[in-house]
Amino acid sequence: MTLTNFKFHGGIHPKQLKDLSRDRAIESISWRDEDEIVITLSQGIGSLNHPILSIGDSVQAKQRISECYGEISVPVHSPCDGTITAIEERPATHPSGLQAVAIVIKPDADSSKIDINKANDLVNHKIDVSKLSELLSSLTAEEIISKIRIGGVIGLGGAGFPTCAKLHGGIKTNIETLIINGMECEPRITCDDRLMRERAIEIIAGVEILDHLLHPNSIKIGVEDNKPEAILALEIATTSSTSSIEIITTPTLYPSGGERQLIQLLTGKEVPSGTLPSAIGVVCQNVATVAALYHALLERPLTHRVVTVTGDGVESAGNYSVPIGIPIDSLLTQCGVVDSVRITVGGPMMGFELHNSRSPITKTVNCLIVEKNSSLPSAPERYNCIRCASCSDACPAKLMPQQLYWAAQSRDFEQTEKLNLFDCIECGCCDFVCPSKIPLVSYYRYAKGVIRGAKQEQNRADEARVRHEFHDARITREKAEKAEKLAKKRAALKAKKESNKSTDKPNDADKKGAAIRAAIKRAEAKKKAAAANS
Amino acid sequence: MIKTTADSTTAREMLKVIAALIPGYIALSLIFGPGALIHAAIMIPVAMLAEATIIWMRSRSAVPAIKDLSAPLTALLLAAALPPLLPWWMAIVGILFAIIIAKQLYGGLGQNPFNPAMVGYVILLVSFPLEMTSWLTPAGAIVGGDTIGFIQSAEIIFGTIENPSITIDGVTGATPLDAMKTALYQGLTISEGIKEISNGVLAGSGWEIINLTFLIGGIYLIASRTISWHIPVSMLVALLIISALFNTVDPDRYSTPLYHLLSGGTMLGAFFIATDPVTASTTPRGRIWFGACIGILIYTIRSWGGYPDAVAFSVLLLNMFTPLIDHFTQPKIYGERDNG
Repeated sequence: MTLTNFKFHGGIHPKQLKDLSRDRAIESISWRDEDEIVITLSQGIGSLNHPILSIGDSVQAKQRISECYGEISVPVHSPCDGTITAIEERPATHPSGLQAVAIVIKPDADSSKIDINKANDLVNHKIDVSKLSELLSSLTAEEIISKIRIGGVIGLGGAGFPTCAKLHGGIKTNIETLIINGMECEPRITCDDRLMRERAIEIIAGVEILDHLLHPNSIKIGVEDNKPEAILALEIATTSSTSSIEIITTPTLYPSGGERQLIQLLTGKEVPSGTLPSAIGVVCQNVATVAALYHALLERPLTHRVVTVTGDGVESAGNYSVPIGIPIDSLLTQCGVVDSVRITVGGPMMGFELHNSRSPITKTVNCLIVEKNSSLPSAPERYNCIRCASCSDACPAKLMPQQLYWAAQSRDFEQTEKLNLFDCIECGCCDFVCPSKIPLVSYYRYAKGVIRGAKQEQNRADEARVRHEFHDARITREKAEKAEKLAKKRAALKAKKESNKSTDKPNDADKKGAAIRAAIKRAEAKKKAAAANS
Repeated sequence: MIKTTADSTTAREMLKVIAALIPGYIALSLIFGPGALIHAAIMIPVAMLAEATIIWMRSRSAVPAIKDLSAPLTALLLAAALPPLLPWWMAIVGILFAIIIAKQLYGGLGQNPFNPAMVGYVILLVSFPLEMTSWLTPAGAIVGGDTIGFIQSAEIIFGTIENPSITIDGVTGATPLDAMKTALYQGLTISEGIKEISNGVLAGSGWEIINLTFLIGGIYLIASRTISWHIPVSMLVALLIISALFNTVDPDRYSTPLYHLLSGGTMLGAFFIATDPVTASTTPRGRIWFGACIGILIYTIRSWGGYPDAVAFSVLLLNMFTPLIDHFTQPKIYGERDNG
């Protein structure tokens, strides 16, 4: 274990509040007989999946139920044996509370026991090192990435960026540092902490796969110093590892688990604005993602994940391994939820309030905070911004939130872009420190939305303009072609006429003359004959 | 949605600044009598009432504006800058102008481009130049062997004494900065001027004590992270450098750096006035420019301008440049490319 020498700008120390769940070992919770499994077709970032089965088809656990196109998209799998009962819009686990297309599966009766047993088997999971290395050496890099992709692995730390896309970028460039993110810097969340403590060997196996794939010069696992047990477990697991892995401890400071902040903490380098970490030779993966890709390589696709359930609104807070697609209300009922609660999905800093508790657990849900409505503080009184700069002191992206706020508030979106709005990672440090209690991040999200909308509109307008111009060009071209044709025709006709004038006319006259002459001759002959007859 | 937030509130920040003024107020009261306290007692309710009235006229809830403590702070800052025996109604004119014209007409807290307290001060200075430059000398503060007391101060402030200029003849006078300027006009050298005007060792007439107490308050503000060090440090360093430069060249005509640092409103201005976040530059580099320019302007006006002290004018002038300074001093963001 080593301490880091680097720092990032700003950051905050919110109350950790992890005690409620940090000492609770991962337990399995599965569906109840009355539950249905709802697999949303867009999980994390990436284009929409297309279902490959129909309503009424039966599915098996781990079976792939969708396909997807494009590099930045991964398929989804069924966590259970069952039957597809619907493919329709369901409430999405999203701040908007909108509906999203999902595949609905009715699990077979009593199948949850099998699910729990399988999950429990995983607790005593042993890694067959020789089998793994044999497998790795038999596959090309592309094949390994393809397996990870088909296994449905996306970033489990929150953003849900498809792991295969990061790895594609990684094998194309020379990777200097592979960073494994075990920071879990948001308050309350403990699922990664438990995973590191209990399943360090799976994480290390995943790291070895990435080592094999990317050949980094160094591998660093970053863990905040508030997780000593996790650090110890990782150290024990790395002793037998073939890869040389450094475990680096950092001071507890939010948002040190933000990808760009962690890279700066462990390497001292900043990821250039508007680029991905691979631009500076870094690939960063969350610990849970790394464990998931290990399983994906061994034909165990991502169908379950660990979720922290915490807050005073549940009787048994803890860390639960749950099937992806289980309705949140089923999970919470099984944790003993009390009446009239507010549910936050994700951590208290970056999470969002859930509007419909029937929405499902998705791949990116790492935490559910359940708070009694009665224990919630009333909304703090909001004051005007006094430009005290607490926010810019706390901003890990070194932005000027107070100026961004002014620009966003006065709808000067051009100015917000000049103030680097799109480098905002929405970590919420500015909201946290603001003495005037201004919800700054929501202003930035709004501004980003407007600008993105305007850009889309602009693109559409550009496309329409190009189409229109093409259309115009085609019309004028056709007109020109028609005119040309007409002119040619006219010219041809004219030429014909002219040639008629020069050659046919005299002939005509001749013909006429000849005819007249012939007629005269005939008349004369007739006269002669008549004269002879008489 | 309700987010987890830190404990700090606007009111708490204001309260810290008010607390930091306590040592300075104690020094002012000990040296010049309780005039500043009497002024503050008049101006705080007037400020709050004026603020509430304007907000009420705008059909908004006045409660948050009253609770944020910014109006009392403005009153306290202005009261600390006024001559201790200034008539009560002048003090009221000053605070009304500060709150209504300089602050609320622009939209209230956070919207005003100019420091309200300094706008109030300057309005009084240009309207009542004689009264605004008549300070008690510490000797004058002692009437008949006693320090000028509450009753006497109040009598003079509220004008119950028929003709205060006669009654306290010889006890009011110019500030050392003012007197020094006069002395220099009369052809005296700095060292002769000091002897002429000052019982104090450095900056004359107890002013160095007042400045030191405001410095103590200022250090508390920096230590408690209520203000950042950039503005006061750059302002004081700029003042130090430029005064040292001229003092070295011609010590007979230009006062010593210590004299400048510890006289007039230097420390009050550096830690309490120039650091008003609403009207000061907000970028780290911008704050250094902002402070340094104020320091240089203070020296310029004090040395060659028509007014004896210059904190108010310098701060207001730089307030005008705040948007420009902010524009040109944007910090380098995370991951910013060098060409960008």
